[in-house]
Amino acid sequence: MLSKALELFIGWLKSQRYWATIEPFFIIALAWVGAQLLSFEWIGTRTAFKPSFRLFLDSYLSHWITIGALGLAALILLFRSRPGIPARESASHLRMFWSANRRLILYRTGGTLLILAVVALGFRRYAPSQVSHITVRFMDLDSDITPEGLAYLIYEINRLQRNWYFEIDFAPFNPEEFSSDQATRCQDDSRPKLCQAEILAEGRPFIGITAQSLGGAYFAEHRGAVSVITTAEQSVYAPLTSYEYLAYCLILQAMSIHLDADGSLPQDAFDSARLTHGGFFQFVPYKQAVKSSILAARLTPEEEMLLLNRFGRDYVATCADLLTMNWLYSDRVKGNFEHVFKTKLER
Amino acid sequence: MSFRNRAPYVLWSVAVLGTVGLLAFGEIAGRTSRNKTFSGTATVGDGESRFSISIEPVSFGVNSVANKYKLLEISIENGSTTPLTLSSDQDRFEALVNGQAIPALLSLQRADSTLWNSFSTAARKDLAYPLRVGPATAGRSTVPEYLSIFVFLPADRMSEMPTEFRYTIASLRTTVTLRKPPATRA
Repeated sequence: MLSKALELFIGWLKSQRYWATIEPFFIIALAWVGAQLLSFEWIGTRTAFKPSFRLFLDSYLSHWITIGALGLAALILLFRSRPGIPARESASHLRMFWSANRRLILYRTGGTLLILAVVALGFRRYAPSQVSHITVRFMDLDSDITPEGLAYLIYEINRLQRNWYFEIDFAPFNPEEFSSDQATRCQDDSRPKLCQAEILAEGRPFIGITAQSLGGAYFAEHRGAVSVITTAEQSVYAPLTSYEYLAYCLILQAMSIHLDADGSLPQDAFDSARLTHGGFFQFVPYKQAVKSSILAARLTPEEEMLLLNRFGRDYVATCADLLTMNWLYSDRVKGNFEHVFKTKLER
Repeated sequence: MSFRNRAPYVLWSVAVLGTVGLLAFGEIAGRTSRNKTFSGTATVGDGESRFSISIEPVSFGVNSVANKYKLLEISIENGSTTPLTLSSDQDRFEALVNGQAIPALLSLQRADSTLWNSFSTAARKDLAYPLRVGPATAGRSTVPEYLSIFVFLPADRMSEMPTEFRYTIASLRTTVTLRKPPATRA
């Protein structure tokens, strides 16, 4: 039905006087629609990330297609226009052709370069950023978690990644290794664990895991490229295991570090909110709600949009997959935890 | 050819082989027989931990850290499935020299921050007094956990080689005495 209507519409257009003028632009418009539809289909294949079409139209991919189509249309206009420059057909040799049409050639070459530069700038403007690897260090662990069990959890997260991963530093943390200035600074800091993590990070993206309470947060603290996660509130997230809780926190903190490094972490991320809908960057002062957040972890359309446009399709697709926690509750991973690390994941 | 004619060749061969042999033995002897080993044990939970110090007297006499400290490495072998908790605040380490107990510094971070801060991050990581020695891995046979720790003895009070070491570990509420093994006859 739709194809018939389109056929009729094209037939009608072809009968119009101006068809020859608009034909290439009409083809570009059709190609634009086709490319948008194909990209929309591709973006949701083989992942848990299924954006709405409205969200897709605001994405870097859609912008790239539009910029490409506009650039092509501009080139057609350029090669059709000849502002006051007459074309001379008589020239047979290259030198004679150049001397006869020099102005036109220069005009079109200049115009082409300008269009290509604008298109390149447009592509660059909307291009997703590269994300960095993140070092994880076990600063001190609770008795219900073993370094090897946690390393296994992190390696399973890494298995789902393609563009970045967590690197584990197994060296046991010892505050004695700090210089006296560093030790004093962290003693006086209102967030001592975050301060220690910042020193250990040595300027690189870093997540520290500790069993001790944090200065001013229940579960995690974040500043710049560094985060620290605590398992001190174990009774709050029970009956979930520390592994489930840490899987959730690691994914959340990794996204925060990447967004912060890119300068695009929302201003109100983790601000205390009385009303909540379970968004990833929402913080609820009622700390027992962390269980609900873990069990129903999801990205809101706004968060999907943010991650898609900042880091690309693979990144947001991986985050969406990780957040479902299906990988953690697969028979293989659950079995490994139960038989090798003696921890039962109940869900 | 008579023995008289062969004698110079035989003598030369014996001389050359003997020199090479002596040089080789000299090399081996110079490196193995001088180390003094001190050792002691302590009960940790369900098992035993072994502590040992190996000192080469010449380098111990000559070497020092910033002309202030003698650096001593203590090897710990935790054969217990219970971790061994250490504390630079509460543990004590002493060397017995001329019958006098000389305390070592466990935390240079607090005791000599200027020197400590002058070390690289990697060196501080290696020299820092640890918080614990991990537990032995239990299985068909128990595999002990090994760790080396470093302590600093005041160089100006080390007029002679220590004869004994005393290591007090607060978490165990015990003092381990590290002695040389008794002399044995061959």
